[in-house]
Amino acid sequence: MEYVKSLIVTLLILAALLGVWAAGTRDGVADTSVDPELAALLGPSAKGESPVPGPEDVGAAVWGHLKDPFYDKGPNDKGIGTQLFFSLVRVLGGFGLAVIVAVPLGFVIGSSPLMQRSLEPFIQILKPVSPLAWMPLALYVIKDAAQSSIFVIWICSVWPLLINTAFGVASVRPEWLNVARCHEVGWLRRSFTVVLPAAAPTILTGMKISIGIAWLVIVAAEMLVGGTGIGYFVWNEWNNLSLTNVIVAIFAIGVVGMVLDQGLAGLTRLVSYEE
Amino acid sequence: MPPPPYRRSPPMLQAPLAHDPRLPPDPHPASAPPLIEVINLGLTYPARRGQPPFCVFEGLSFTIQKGKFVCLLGHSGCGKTSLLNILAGLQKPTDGAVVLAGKEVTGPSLDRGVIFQHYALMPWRSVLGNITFAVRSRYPQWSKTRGREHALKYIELVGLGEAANKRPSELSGGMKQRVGIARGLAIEPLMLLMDEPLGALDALTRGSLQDELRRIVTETQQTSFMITHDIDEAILLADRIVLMSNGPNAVIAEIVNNPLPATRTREGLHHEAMYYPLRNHLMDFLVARSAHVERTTIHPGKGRVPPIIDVQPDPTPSP
Ligand SMILES: Nc1ncnc2c1ncn2[C@@H]1O[C@H](COP(=O)(O)OP(=O)(O)O)[C@@H](O)[C@H]1O
Ligand SMILES: [Mg+2]
Repeated sequence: MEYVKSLIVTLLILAALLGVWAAGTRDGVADTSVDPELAALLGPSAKGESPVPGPEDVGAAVWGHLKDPFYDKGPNDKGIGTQLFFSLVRVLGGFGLAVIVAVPLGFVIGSSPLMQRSLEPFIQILKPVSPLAWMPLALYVIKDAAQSSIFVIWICSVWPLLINTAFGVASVRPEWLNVARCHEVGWLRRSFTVVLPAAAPTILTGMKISIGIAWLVIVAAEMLVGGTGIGYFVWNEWNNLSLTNVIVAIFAIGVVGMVLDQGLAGLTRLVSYEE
Repeated sequence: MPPPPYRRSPPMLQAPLAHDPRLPPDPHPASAPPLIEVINLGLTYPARRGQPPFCVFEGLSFTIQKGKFVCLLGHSGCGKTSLLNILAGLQKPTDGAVVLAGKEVTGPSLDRGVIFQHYALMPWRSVLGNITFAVRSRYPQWSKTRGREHALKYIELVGLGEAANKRPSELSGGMKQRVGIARGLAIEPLMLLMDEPLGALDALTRGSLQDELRRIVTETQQTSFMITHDIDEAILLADRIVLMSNGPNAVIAEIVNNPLPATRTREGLHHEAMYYPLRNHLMDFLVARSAHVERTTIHPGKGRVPPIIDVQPDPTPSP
């Protein structure tokens, strides 16, 4: 019942937003005093059309993209699905490499107060740096735009993973470690059967944060380096003055981001436990 | 000030460990070598931030025979948990040694089962999963099914057969501690160590778990060492009650033999002739004497060997 209520409210808000949007972008009366040839040069505003596309324009464009999301007609004309796919591959690649590095390292940091204290300054200094600040360095060293954006994703994913893993491992309840000691459980078995399950919810929360940041950063990174990806798509459509496609891309980015977030939230639920 | 230098006393000289199989069974089991021997145990925390070193206890010496149930009674803060942690090998003493079955205790091991006051169950594992974790540690060579059967046997023993697949969060406090007890027993330890295992439970649950423990230890003859501050619990469960004086510098004041018959039950406790003399003796210790126990000199290598007390019946008024 609560669910139905909230669904109804959501639909009402959606209708209101669409209404405001449609009203705000309604075409005005064409200014007939302007010479039609000048009007053509001035663009839509002189013709009385709103410069921002309304919901019906965007809806039509979404339908157009959904009908053929994966076409590829040369470097400047690829389907939105193709571009999202390029971005997702980069995000998942950079994120995956970050998991491979940061989870074991976080494990070591979390289980050793010495490592915790000695690595703290590095993490504190590097964590607040915008990942895009690394881009020039990456481009110079790696000399490949696509790999550089993967590196940028890697570096922005690493910090939340590292910090959450270390925190999760450091806050494993001492009594569980004592249980492991009393049962003469070796280091490896303890890591996999006690520390990892105990820290798993915290580690997965770190993953959720990381992939959220990575999805934010990839758009900006691809705008910078160009070539392919949803970020480049947005930039390209802006150059084409197609605000309709920019808005479609905004929705597409939002939907993919939500799917990534919900996917990791589901995984977190799988490994979380109630004390 | 630096911590006191680490001294480890030599183990006490003992009668030969193994009983010669050609001889008839020992008619005086008390003279058999003890299962566990605590020798001149001391624990001092080093000086810190202008505070002098803190001596929790010193010169503790006592033994526990195989198959006996020993309770430790003492006021809060006298070092009971520290003593149990040292027996478990989770903590190191600053002085003295613990010898279990002829071997010095140097760390935690599977020949001691520990039952924790706050259960220490792993919440991401089911009841069965918590027990099989212990069983797999103890018997790594066993097959999965064999380990499972063994675990289920102990889950049945503590009366949790119905709840084997539940998570700890779905259990009441009393049920959680039953899991803790099953886990302690499932590794079939030489010695079971319990730190106020029923202390966090309400009176009714505590009573039924006391009955359960009594039944299990009489059934299995499990050698056990348990901390409690409940006098009736000690009288019901213990064969011997170790009395610890108040800290700091706590000592073992005396060891009291339980004169009640082995058939004693919780409901019938107060009908036993020796119940009140024993209860009064223990109560008198906790209320009055525990603060003024005389510290005799520590015998080098032996510590302070406490007197073993047999409580006398109340003098019957002569006709
Ligand atoms: N790390 C420590 N440093 C200094 N003193 C400690 C430390 N841990 C425990 N103690 C002291 O040791 C004494 C014994 O503690 P504990 O064994 O927990 O007592 P009990 O279980 O009998 O209540 C207490 O007085 C406590 O203040
Ligand atoms: Mg205690």
